[in-house]
Amino acid sequence: MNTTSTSNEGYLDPATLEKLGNMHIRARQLVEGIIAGLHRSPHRGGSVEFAEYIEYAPGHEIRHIDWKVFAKSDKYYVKQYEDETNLRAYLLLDGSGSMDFAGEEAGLTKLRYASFLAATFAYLFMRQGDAVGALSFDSEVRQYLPASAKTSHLDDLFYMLDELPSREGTAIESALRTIAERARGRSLVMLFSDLLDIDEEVMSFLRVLRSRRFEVAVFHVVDPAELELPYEGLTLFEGLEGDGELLVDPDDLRDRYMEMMRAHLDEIEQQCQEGDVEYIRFTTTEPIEEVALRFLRPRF
Amino acid sequence: MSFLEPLFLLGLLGAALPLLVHLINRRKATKRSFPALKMLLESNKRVARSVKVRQWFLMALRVLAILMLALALAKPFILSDAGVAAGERLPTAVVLVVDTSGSMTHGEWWDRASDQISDELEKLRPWDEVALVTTTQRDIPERLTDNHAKIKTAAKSLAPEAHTGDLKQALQSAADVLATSQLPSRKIVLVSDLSANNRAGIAPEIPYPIELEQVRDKKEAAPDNLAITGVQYEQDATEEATWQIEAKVKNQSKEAREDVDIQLTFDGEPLSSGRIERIGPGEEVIHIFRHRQTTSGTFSAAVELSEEDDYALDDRFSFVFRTRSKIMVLIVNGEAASIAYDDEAFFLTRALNPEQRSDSGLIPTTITPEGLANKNLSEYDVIILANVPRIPNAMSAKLERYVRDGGGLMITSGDQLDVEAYNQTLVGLLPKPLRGLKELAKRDDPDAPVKITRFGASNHNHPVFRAFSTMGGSTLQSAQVYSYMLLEPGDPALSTTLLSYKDNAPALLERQLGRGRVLLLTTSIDFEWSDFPIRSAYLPMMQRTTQYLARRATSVGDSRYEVGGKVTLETSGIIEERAIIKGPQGSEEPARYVLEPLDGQVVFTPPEPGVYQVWSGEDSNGEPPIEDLTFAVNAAQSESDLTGMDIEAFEQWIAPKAREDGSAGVVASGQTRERRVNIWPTLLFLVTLALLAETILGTRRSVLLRLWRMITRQRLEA
Repeated sequence: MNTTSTSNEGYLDPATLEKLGNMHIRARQLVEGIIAGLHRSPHRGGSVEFAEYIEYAPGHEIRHIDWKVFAKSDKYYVKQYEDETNLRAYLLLDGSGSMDFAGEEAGLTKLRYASFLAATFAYLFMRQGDAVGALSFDSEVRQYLPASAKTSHLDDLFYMLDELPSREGTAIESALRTIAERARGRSLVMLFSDLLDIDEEVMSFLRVLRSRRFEVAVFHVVDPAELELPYEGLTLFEGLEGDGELLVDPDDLRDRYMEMMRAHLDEIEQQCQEGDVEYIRFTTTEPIEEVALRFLRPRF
Repeated sequence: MSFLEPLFLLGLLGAALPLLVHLINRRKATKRSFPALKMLLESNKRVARSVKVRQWFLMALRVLAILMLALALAKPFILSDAGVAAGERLPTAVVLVVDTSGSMTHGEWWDRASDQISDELEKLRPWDEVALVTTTQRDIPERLTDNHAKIKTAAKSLAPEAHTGDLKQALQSAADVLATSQLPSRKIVLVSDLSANNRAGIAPEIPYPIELEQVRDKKEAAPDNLAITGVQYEQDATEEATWQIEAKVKNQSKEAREDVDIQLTFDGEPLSSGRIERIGPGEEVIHIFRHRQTTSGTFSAAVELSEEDDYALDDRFSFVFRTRSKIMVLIVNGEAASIAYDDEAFFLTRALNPEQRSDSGLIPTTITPEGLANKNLSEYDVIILANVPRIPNAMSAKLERYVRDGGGLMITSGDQLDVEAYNQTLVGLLPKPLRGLKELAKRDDPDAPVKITRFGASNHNHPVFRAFSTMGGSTLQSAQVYSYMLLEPGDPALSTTLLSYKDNAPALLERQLGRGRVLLLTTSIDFEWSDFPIRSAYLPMMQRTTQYLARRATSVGDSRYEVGGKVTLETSGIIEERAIIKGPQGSEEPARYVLEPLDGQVVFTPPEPGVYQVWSGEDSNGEPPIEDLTFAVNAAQSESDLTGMDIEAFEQWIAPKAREDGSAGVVASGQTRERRVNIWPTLLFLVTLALLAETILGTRRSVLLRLWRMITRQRLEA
């Protein structure tokens, strides 16, 4: 902790995260902060319930062998825990061009911020023994990692999150469709996106997921510059997704833009509430731990 | 609208600057990637219209500010008759300058001037002061007074005169008069035709406003005018009692004039008339009258246009016509002797003026060669060098000038004559160089009758010999010549042989030089080389020769007088106590002026054109005037050019400082109430407003909002 700067509440400054080694270290640092925030011991978590014994076969973890049963029966049995299959968290990451943006105030692009947040959740869930899957998309679904609770899976997840490319186009509905098709049982679907291209279809998909008893959380990442349009002087604005350009003095349309942006955000929030979808909006300047806690606190 | 500094109008090009700045800024726009571009585009769609309107308005404000600034720097003004300037309500000192020069007599100009003068005087309020100044009269008291009635009376007696006026001097006097006034408002009112002749000389610097009342119509910018600009006469060289009278007629119009009739009058009676077929615009044509005058004397003559035009003063040109009654002959006697018959000039003086009571009018004066240097040659019409040994260089130059100016010179030969000296000093006068004496026979030679020669062929058509071609005219050939002077061939173009001897040697030669003539007689005029003096042909020959040589009566050199100018008469020895001048002759009641001579001169300023006569002491009881002092006066010629002067040139007469600060200027007639209204202060005010509006509109709304919040917060806190 002493190698990184912290925000007022003792959280890590998102901008300094980039300097912290690899995703693993970042996630661990963040999770420690979160746990401290929850006032819980990191070793007291987990609600693992014994489900059944299955005979040991090569590939099973040796530490799961029940030695008491071996003493009784002289056979290797491996404990099968309920929690392994209890929660499956799916991290859906928007890798569209618009996510590759960082205003002057923010130290991170929206994409990096979202990937750090997702990594944090992944680490946290995996520590609990929950299965975590991930899916990245832009104009189509790019990468999909099925949910798994294996420790080695975490590396795969982190690798994927670290190397997320950003491309033009946003296809949230195909990402949601893919999850809807592949997710089973009790699942938590976490969507990380700037939701600039959200439409009615996306909202209806979210509602569909909810109706299938999936727990759905939307993490709406916003850059402060998007909220305030803080630029001065004649500016040539270029779209990040090939949607043209505009030469304008930002002063002329700031009021109108901010009004539209507020309406857009309110609309999304309202739609999510109506669809019983958890909605968390945050800017890329907020400490990641705080954002995570906003999601986690009601659950602990 | 007019401009004081029109060069600044170039600044109007600066109106393109805002557009250029806009285009350059457009290129300098910051490029930024932005994720929510769709939303920006959407917002822009909604505000674009109002933004565009604002931007256009801003651009218009900037362009307008630059245009107005450039215009303001060019100092525009208009002439407005709206309202009355504050200065015009104040007590005013007015100097009325009236042009009374000759040109004001043209057509109806003076009538208009009189009306304008009355109008101006009527306009005066009781507390205003007024003075009257004319361009020709100097005897009007030029003082400001509030006695308007006095000025009105003086104005009524004004009339244009035949001479030229000094408008500049009059305006300067007016300015001087105004300078003495303490009244808050001062101005000059000028009633004039503003003729172009006023342009000459240095412009005055008048520091007061001038209201110009033009008497000429707009269409009268350059009125038609014919002027007789001069008359010269000269006695005809070849015909007796005949004069050539040359009259110069000038067309001062813009168009050619055809069939112009003019006439010559003597003592008011028309003598002859002539017609000039065409005179081009600005052209001067000479018409020649041939006049035969058998009686001698002095006459009041004039050449005039048969039909008067609108400007009558220059339609008539008066002159004094004088015939010559006496011919003064100076005989330089080269061989004076106490014995009359041996004297070189004995026979000649008697031939010219027998018994000293001849009617021929030839008055001979005889002097020795030494006396020649002290003589004023111009007093003599003919000089005869009779057997003079030699002429000094200085004298020969004087003689040459005398001949060129119209005098006549006769050189006669004899035994005293130094051939070499003559050929050296008189080369410019001699018809041919001399070679030497040819002696045919001595007087006492018994064979003389066969040795001598006689006069032979003569040029019968020549005025000298015309009398000898009549009956009995052959007596010239009866004279016997014993000796004569041989001549070198010389330049045949320079001389004409009028008379030869029987042996074909030249006897009498003529050379024209300037306006005069030289005659060379190769034999003597006394009894020494011929018996010609005792022949009957001698007297007529000598008289004819002298008359032929005599300076011809001419007006060349006569003084030329103009009305208003000074006439100086040399009266020394003629008038002792008082001179009486009467004129102009021919008018019903000629004015009579009595003047006293001062230092032998009488100085007189004639008020009217015409011929004036002069008497000494008494003019009653039929006393004849002194003919030599009669003089003619004509109207000022400079007034004949009736072309108008440019108002721009006239404006230069205002003092530059007063012109620049607008305290003085010229207001043309018809615009009397107009005054200069400066527009540039208003324009500068508008520029300031435009710049203020531009600042408010051009400032970012965010900045304005911040400012507004700051102010309201401070208020709330207060």
